[in-house]
Amino acid sequence: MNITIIMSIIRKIQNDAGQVSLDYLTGITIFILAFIFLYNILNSLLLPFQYNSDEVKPLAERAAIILAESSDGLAASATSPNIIDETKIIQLNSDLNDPVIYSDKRAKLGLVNGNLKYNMNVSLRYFNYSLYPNSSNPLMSGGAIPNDYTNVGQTIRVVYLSQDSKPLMLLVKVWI
Amino acid sequence: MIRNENAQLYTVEGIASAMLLVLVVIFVVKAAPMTPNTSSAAHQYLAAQLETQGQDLLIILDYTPEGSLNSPLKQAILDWRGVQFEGQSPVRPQSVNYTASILKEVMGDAGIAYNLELSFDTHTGVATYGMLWNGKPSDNAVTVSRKIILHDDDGVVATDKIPDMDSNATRFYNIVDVRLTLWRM
Repeated sequence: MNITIIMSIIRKIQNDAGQVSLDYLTGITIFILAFIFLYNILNSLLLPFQYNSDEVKPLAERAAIILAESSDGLAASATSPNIIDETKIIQLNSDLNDPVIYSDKRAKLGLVNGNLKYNMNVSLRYFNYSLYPNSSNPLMSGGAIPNDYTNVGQTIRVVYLSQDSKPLMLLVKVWI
Repeated sequence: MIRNENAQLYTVEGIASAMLLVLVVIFVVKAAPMTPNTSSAAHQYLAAQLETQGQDLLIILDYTPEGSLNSPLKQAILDWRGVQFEGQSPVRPQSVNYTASILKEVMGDAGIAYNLELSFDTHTGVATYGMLWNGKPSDNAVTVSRKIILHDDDGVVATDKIPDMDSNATRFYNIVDVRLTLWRM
């Protein structure tokens, strides 16, 4: 092999014009990974900038209003809002825990808008957040379960269970 | 090439800057003064939630269960002896105590302070008395109210405070505006 060819190859190896150094790539990768790490550990940081961050709140509010105040929801009668009926609660609980009726039920509560299908969870609790019992099961704890990283809209309504003469809280959670 | 240091960011520097970035953001997020009284868009939402809960509570307290003559709230107004109960002092009589215990369970135990006031017309103008008092509300407190109508034969105890507004012409006695002021502590 000719010495001049070898020299030109060496010169090509030594030529580092127009290169991004590997060190730089590594550095910027770590920098970006730091951002991803931050986003994951503080997921509420970017919450105000997510496209669905605001709509779940009014959706939860609307669903809660239907449940607490309308006789189509849980209210015992149209003239007594917030006074809820145990039979209706038991019915709603079994409806929300049945996957087929669940999707139908959330459409009736205004949580299906075209392709956007919001999930919901309804529960009846004491004011210390423990579930109100019905023998060994909770009386009302139905629907899907939100995961830890979802933006959830939550509304609390104070309701009165006439069968037990007790004020309780109705928790409605909505998320996409 | 190995010794060429042009346009390089060292890996160790990358790690160091990344660490600094992470620490600074965590520090800022943790240190930001987000108290319950901080004004923000989220706060307006919380105030609306507080208003809903307060209104719900007054509706429930004013519900007359089957077999009862009056709602617990109305009974508390009738039995009230014109005394203001401060903080956690013992509340009497029983019907006022019931209202106080419901308010404590629903609001007090959740870190929400409350004042319950009664406002009504008298012969010398509108009078407002505190029934349950937990101190001066913060600037972003929420007030909800509900009107209770009293009749002659309801038997108001605090007649020196709540007067009969139409002598004995009709059975009408007075209208009490129950005001519940709520704020986060």
